[in-house]
Amino acid sequence: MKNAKRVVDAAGGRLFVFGSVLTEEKPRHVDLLLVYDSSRITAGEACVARSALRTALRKFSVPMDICLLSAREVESSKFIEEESCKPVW
Amino acid sequence: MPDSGHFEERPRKESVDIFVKYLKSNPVVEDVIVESECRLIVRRKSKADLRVYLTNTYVLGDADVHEIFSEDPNIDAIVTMSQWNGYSESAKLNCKGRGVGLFKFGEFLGAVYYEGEKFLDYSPPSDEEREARRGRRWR
Repeated sequence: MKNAKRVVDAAGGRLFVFGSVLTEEKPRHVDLLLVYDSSRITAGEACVARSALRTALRKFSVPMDICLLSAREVESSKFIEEESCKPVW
Repeated sequence: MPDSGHFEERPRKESVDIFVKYLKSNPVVEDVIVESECRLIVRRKSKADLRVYLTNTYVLGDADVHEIFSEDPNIDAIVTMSQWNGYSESAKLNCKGRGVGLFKFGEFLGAVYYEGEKFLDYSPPSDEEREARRGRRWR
């Protein structure tokens, strides 16, 4: 988990969990939202961060879907509220 | 080279099959060529072909758009396949700025009738608009 946290921090980001993992006992996958700071890293670097995060979380046997939005995109949408996203870090 | 994670967001084969079936039943569509699991060419009657990239991203953002263009810069449209999927407003504008349409499954089925700005800006009529049209027709 330390590696995953390091990736999120390097992206100037925040990590949220949402979806069935919050409501089902045995979810088939885990939905994560990685929010990156676009004034700190580019969209390309954010994609690399997502890839690194996926690698860092690979040891967990449940498949992970990682959505990737900039803080600006999150602010201009209601995604976090509508999806009842819970902060991880 | 795009993030390898992107490849885990390929659309399901059954979704692609249904999408192709709907497109082929459209009167403006002459043929649909499936180039790969995430690439189609839509041949249209009296209109330009559309090179379409299919994805299954729950919410498609600027970074996903960047990743898709890194993989294929010659596309005319990106379609995110599941009915639950969506995209950020910024991603839509980002695509439009490059002359590329960004659509949900159902939106693309309507957009395919158009070209240029109308294609890029297409959004299906709201329920109220549909009702109003129906009302006009029945009067």
